[in-house]
Amino acid sequence: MKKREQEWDLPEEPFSSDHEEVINRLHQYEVDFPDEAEMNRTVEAVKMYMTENTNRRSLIKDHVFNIIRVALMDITYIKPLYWIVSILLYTAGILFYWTGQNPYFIVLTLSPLPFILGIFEIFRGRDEGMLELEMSFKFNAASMMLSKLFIIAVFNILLNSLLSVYFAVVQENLNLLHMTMYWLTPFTMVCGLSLMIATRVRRNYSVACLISIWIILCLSLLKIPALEDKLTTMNKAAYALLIVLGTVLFIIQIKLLFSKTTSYFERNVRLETNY
Amino acid sequence: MKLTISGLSRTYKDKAAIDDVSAELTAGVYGLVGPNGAGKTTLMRMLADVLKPSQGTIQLDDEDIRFMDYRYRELIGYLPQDCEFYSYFTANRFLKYVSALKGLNEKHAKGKIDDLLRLVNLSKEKHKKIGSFSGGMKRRLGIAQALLNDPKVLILDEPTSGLDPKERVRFRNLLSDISEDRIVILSTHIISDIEYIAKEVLVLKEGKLIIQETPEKILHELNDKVWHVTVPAHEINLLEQRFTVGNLMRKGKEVEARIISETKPLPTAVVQTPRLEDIYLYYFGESLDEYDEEMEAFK
Repeated sequence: MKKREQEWDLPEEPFSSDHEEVINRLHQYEVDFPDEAEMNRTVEAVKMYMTENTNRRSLIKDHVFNIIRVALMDITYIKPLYWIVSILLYTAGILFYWTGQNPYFIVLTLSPLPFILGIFEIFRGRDEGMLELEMSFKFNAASMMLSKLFIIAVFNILLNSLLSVYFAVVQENLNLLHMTMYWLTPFTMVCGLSLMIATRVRRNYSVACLISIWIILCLSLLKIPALEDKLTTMNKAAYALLIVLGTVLFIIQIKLLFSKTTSYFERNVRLETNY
Repeated sequence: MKLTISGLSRTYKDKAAIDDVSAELTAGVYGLVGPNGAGKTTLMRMLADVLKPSQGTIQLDDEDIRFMDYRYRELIGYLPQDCEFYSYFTANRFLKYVSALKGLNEKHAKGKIDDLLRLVNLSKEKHKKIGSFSGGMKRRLGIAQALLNDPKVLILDEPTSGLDPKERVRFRNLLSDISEDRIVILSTHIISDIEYIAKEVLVLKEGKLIIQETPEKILHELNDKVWHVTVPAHEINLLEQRFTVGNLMRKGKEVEARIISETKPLPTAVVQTPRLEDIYLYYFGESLDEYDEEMEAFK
């Protein structure tokens, strides 16, 4: 410490002479304040003991950030076969187009298939016995399921969009907006239904069942050209309504999926009460 | 580091799997014992944030883990009792996957993975698919993944099932080494896993925590209550009706039995030094052999 001459503001109440003497003596010395680096080190050291802001908005922001982070990580862990099979299906769709098939029918048939196949990936942890372990991780099973749902849905939409753009380019008089609404309608409905079934039934059975039913429905359209025409020429408001209904169903199923995931071990609690 | 369990309950319909359990845990190894259906796995799951309690709280350093959310899961390592792994992953890839989900830095994780594989004696199998692993190897891999994030709270549910005696000794030594500055909760029915390393033993019966004591105090409680008797073989049924009978050994026309009794059961009974596994006999009225048979039947 070194002597300095700066004066401090004193309180108004009079001090005793002893106090005044102490104060005057202390005034002669300068206290070095810590520098920025020292202050930062102290803040970092005590940060771990501070309770974090748990307000709802910041928690939601954290969750969204975590899901994106997990999604970027998850892409590398999804089996390559999934990407390959999905792309092959769409390649086959393009080849079918050049054999004279209706592009609307091709897009309709292919529209939900990558998502249905993606059920294998979304429910992999549950069906391969990893769910309990994954639920205990920082980015837990619920985050992973949501991130895989996000990746697979985006991938599916991307494939459908690319195919639609391709058909819009190669075929004259094909309205891209109309085609988009045409495939988006069954896509949202089937995604919601797929989640509903897969949440309750093991993925092997649910995927097989969903693909079979979907293919049968699509082939039935071929047999009934009048129905296919009617679907192709529906007005935009009807498409929009069905898309909204499908989206609502999808969101409800996502919510139910998470509540089922967190209560998954409820049945094991039943086993442990068997005394 | 302190883990406080207060009034914890978990019910299913009208039955309680865990009933009003309270405990305070600090650094060290805690053995959680109890018969099948006592609630051990339910308690472990609640501690691992895999199952939500019906009532009560779990606090880490006075902060409720419900509000900590992923910050709590960052600090724990968990090995479930029944756990499978993705069979098409190699051991190395699996640990990389887990380290990513635990939010670990990739560079830091690489070194840690190699160290842990060496620790659990799986270095040579690093690039082999988990589908080709034996049960014991999978268990060792499970222990490795639980330690990846250097957890402050380690929750292990029957970690040594499937391990041979040599591996169990290695595992015990490992736990002993790492427990100085972390809380280790180990659920087991292999008493030798915890006998020499447990700071305290928690005994669960029908969802209730009936005792939380050091092994020394528990053994002290059993002093002068464990007896060795030799009876003719035809009298064994009578003995079992009257007393809590544990291990039986046939020797010709006679049977040697280890029994629990507050008073000398027979004039020829000889008092024995209690062992920690006698708590099964004392608190649950069954020997470890009977417990093992039950476990097998349950599987």
